[in-house]
Amino acid sequence: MPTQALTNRTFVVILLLVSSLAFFAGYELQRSPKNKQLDTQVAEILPKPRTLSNFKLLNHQQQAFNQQSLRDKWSLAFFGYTNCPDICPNTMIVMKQFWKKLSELNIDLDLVQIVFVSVDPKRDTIGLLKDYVSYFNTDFIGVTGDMSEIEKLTQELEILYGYEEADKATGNYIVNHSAQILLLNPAAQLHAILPPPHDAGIITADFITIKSHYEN
Amino acid sequence: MKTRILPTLLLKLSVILSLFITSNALHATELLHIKKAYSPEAPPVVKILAGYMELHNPTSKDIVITGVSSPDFEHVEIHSMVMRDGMMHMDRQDTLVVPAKGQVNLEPGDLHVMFINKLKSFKDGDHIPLTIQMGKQSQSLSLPVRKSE
Ligand SMILES: [Cu+2]
Repeated sequence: MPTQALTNRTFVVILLLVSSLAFFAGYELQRSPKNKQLDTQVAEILPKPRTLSNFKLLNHQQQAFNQQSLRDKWSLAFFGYTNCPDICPNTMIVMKQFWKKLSELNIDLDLVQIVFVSVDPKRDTIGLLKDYVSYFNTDFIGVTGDMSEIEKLTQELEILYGYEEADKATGNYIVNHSAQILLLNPAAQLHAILPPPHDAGIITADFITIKSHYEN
Repeated sequence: MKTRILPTLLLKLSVILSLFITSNALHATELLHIKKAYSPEAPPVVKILAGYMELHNPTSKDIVITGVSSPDFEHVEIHSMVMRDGMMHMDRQDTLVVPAKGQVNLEPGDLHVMFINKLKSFKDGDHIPLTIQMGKQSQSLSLPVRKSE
């Protein structure tokens, strides 16, 4: 019967329409603000912020720098060494620009800290680190300490580093190291990763996006 | 007598002239056109500095850089910067080819001149002398030290 065939076909078409509508509705629902991944430019937000076990390091003023030091403020942490000629100073300059942008945006700088952790404690003494970080900004914090404590912290943060053989003529050695900036939230948890190359404008935008989402 | 003096004089002149040209060719040739050379000012405690520039080769032959040196540092090298195994690695380049009619940029996060162990201090406004060796030929320049803001 032709009419019956037509009805069947209409039914199939309607079924297809309804199911595709449902599919897209579900897709949209998934993209709705509640479930949607935050719209950052470069920051990779951890699905679940990572709590760190305690560690015992020193800041450039010879005071203890531990898990507690990361509490109640946002921290941007970078791992490197003072004799790094390129990636470290360039990242510090980006941090300096980021700091300036935050103050221009009237963000309370007491609630943010910039931390430079040395992965070359043998050469980076506290005195040297102090001169190094304060050259860029007197608010920045230099951190160093026992190799074993640095190892523990970097492992939890998935920061890698390795030493090259010293040059025979100059005694200088290169330290290869990860170049991401880590963003830790006021609960002292690793919250997001900012991969290189670094740009102060992008970091500022991503930081504000993440911070305001966290506060809501 | 006079007729003899003139050729001798001419000969002497030509010798002097050719010497001048040769010495020029050996020391002051500008094989590469170097633009935007600078070295970022570093914290005074840092002994290792970086240098950046654009190297342009206007000739129709590849130019091979075989070494770099500066009297103000113990040692100078050219390094590349690559991400390997999750780390930024600096690899020494024993030679660097600037292709015919081409250009190579030394810039932050990439290729750079690495000045190792400074013998004097440098601050914004100072200049770092650098000699680039290209086989038997060489070229000198000075990199202004600039504070980044
Ligand atoms: Cu280097």
